[in-house]
Amino acid sequence: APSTSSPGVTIPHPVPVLSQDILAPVPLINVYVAPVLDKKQTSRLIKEVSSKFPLPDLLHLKRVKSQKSGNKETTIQILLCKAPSEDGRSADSGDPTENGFHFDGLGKPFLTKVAVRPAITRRQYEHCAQYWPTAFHEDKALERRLKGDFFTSEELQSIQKYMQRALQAAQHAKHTGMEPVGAVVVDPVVDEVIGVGHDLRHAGNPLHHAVMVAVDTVASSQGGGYWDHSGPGLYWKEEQSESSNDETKDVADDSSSKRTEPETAEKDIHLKDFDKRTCDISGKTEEQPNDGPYLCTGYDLYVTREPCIMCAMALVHSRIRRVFYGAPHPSGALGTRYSLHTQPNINHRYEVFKHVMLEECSTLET
Amino acid sequence: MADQGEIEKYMYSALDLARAALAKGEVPVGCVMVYQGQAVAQGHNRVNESKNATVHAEMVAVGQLLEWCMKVGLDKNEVLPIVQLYVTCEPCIMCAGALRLLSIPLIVFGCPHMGGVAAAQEIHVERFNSKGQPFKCIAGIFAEPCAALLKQFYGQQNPNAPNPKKKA
Ligand SMILES: [Zn+2]
Ligand SMILES: [Zn+2]
Repeated sequence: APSTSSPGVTIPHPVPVLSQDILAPVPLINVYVAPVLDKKQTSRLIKEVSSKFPLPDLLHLKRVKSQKSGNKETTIQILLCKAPSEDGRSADSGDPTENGFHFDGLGKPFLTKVAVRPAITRRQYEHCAQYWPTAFHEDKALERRLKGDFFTSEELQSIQKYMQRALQAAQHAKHTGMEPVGAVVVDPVVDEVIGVGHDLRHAGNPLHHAVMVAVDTVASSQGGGYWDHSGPGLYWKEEQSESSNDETKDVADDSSSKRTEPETAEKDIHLKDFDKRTCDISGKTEEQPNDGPYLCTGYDLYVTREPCIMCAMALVHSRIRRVFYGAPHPSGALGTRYSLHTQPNINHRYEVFKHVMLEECSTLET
Repeated sequence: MADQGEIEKYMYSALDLARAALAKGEVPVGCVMVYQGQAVAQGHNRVNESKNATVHAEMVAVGQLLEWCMKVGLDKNEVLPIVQLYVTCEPCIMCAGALRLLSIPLIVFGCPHMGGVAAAQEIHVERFNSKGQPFKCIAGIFAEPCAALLKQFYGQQNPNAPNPKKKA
């Protein structure tokens, strides 16, 4: 849903890139259930059935379903056990009565479908509940994401402002023979650009994608940094604050003008402090002060093109908070070819939004 | 392809680099890159030093290799597809993605990746990258000493981590 930021200007909402676990209905499996013949026996039956058939991976399901059918009395069903999966491997039908189980007061078991795991969204919950009663804890923030109108108009303007900065960097990359990709790291708390990078993969190191460059400029702002990324269009906070105060923070292209302009692209990319890299085994450990933020913790990234798998994982390592990208890419790892950020076993999670200034970002690529 | 003696020789060097990293308070992973039977680039993890979480041993070694190519006047696009990479720990997703982008054909590593992150063994599956070539992996060379260094490190504290883990 587009929202109005200022009279006459409509900023489209960034599109959250969510996992299929969230978007698709919860898969169903077959289970055996049986009707309770005498309702007074229900609590005894629940106890007996639960101890006979513990269901540790179906804890989201209620054990009992009570249903009013028409004007008849309420009927009660008890969940017994999982039916064997339908791959046809097992000759065992799974019917508990055929396996010699008997509970006084239960009718003949029959098959029904239930949700295989808990519902994450209300929409999934409503679907699951049509089959069998299930527990649900609503994630309010996620529901707002799904509704699509979670950013205020101020936030939308700020998102656009930072993507505009990434677009500038991308333009610079394009004009210097690089891939047209730009990236900006922002501290959303103080509303400030911490680092700007653009693609440099044709300047010497094919791994210097815009995201990798931007992450290193953030490191530089914290007194670190490994690669010697110099050149117009790349900067970090420290350098910006050293430069003249007349400059607004959005116009940082000239902030690196103090540096000598590299004569060739190859010079752009030599390693910082070559000697530092020769490994000594002296064993001395330097004490490092740790005043600033840890890596990109709490920061947001704006990048004109969907990051590749290397860059997407670099952002996991860097503890980025949110990623906004413009144009999807065929080898993109945040929704197109792969969805790294929705994998269950990564050790840090970040939110991803796409289609920020989609038209401008897509035009760059052509 | 390198024989077992060669493989062990280079992995031994990688282990030395990993020990040097540990002595500097870095994650103890070391990496050696070999071109035509010659170790031409090396590196160890430098994340704490650089405050850049992407400066893994492989990234450092790749940077050295590219400099070496320039220095000796070789075209990196001819060197990379025949270079071998020795690393004490299975490359993470980022590094594995990087090595694919570079078309490095052979990765020899010591211990499996720690920390429950899917890694190199899965990365050479086609779906991850449309660019670059899948690489071959030889796993488990000196796995025990490689893993022992990491255990030693994670038993200590990571000085830059926001909430350092207590000794397990
Ligand atoms: Zn990338
Ligand atoms: Zn790595």
